[in-house]
Amino acid sequence: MIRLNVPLVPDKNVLNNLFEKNICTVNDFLQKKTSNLQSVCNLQCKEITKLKDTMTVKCSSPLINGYTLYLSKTLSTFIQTGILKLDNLLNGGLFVGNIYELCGPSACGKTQLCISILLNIIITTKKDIVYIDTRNKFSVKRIKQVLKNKNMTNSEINDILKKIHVYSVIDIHNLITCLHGLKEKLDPIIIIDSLPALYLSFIGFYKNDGLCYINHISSVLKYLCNKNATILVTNLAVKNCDFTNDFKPAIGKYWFHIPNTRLMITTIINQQQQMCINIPKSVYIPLDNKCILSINDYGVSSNL
Amino acid sequence: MEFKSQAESGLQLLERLVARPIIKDLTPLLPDELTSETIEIIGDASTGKTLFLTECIAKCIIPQNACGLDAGVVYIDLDGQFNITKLVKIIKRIIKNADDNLVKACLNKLTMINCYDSPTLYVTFQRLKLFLTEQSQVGLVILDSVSANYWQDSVSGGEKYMDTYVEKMISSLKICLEDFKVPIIFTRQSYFQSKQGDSLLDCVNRRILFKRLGFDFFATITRRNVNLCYKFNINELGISEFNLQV
Repeated sequence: MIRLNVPLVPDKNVLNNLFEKNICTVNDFLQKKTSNLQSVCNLQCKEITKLKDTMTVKCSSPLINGYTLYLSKTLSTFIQTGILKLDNLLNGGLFVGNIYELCGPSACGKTQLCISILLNIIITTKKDIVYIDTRNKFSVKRIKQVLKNKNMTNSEINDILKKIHVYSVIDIHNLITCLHGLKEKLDPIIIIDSLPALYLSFIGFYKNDGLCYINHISSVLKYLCNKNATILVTNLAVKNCDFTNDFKPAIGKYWFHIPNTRLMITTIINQQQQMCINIPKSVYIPLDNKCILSINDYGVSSNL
Repeated sequence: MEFKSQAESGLQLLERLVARPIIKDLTPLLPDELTSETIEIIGDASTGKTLFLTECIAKCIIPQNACGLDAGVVYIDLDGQFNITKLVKIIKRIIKNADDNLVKACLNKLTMINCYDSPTLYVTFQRLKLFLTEQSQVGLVILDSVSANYWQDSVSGGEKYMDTYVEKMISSLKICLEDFKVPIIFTRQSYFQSKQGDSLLDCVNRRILFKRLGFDFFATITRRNVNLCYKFNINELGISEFNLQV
């Protein structure tokens, strides 16, 4: 709620009068008739109308011209993941301003894929990356191993590690605070691994508190995307309880509408070091294409 | 002989005198005139809702000599799924060899609003009233989608019943826009319904239901209990080939 305060209502006495009549938010004020407000505020009709208009303009979302928006979006294009097959699948790479979701059963290589994408982006673009770790599982060891296998020297490795900003969050409130803190960053690349770890503690309660927080998180993510952030979120897939034994995402129906593109990861039976990626949801990519990647000492790559 | 005197507000007088573009023949799905109608679009994710809206915007903002409607559009984006480059692609598909100036002239007629919470959204509705008074070329308002902030609102003491939530939001938008007689198109996800009834909401004139079966897309239009079903394709260029199904 947008609470009435002094810059919005210029006079402190008028403000107190309004609070006494239980008019506390901007919406309360705008919905009351001007004639009623006149007596409450002791102001003239003209002044009330003017107050209403300035309030409306100040507290509403900005109106953006389509052409201005287009100009701001054409400058930024996409970030390559550095994994050839994945880039091809994604029509070139990760589009700036989009939310990508990596969804798969446990131990299918979600975190490995995140780490590989992260390192590839740093190596090619030298950009800083925000890595939000919700399970305290971020492994510097693994990163060092991958980089050493790529024949990097220690100082190169140090430079790369300096580019990774790891935020360890322990609960959903922490995550929200953390995301709000990222609003000022310029074109950030954000990896959240993993979202369900925080959400699952809410499952089973009568109220939909968990969904409320997910809703809040999505709003902040959308805000960041509008500021040209690129976001990668991992989501766990769990087995259905019915006979089909199909996997379904741990955060269900509501969340499904949030990411722009969902990458579903499945393990290939008898091929433990490989993962299969397909796209069940996307705004711009033809659906149901597939690619197979392998996980090895060099991270995740196209070479089988 | 009796004369009835009718009072009208200044805004209504202005609206009567100012010519606002009429939205007609927007897509094959909506062939007739849409003055002050409310159209609801329901569908699961990836059934083409946002793409359909993008096509509608393109049709509106393109000048009349290129089979457009030459009307301004206000797009309230709550879901963040709208893609402006897609819109430009569609414009370039409709107008062959469109140059940058033409694209600029088209896009200037589009007004985007990004909104992240409901209290701001309700103030923004009021803002639209001011905006539409100034801008007489705006002929269509789109809201995508109504359900975006439902879970936040319902926990912080808002409406819990989904259908009522939709009705409240749409009717407060309608109150702000009623003098302008512009049509409103809004979307909601198919899970976002209180009951799986076939009846339309009171505030809705038509409903379009989007479905996907394999590679085929279907749109069912319900209006005054008459259903029409169309089959269509989605490819790189956008939506094509609406075929009426019998």
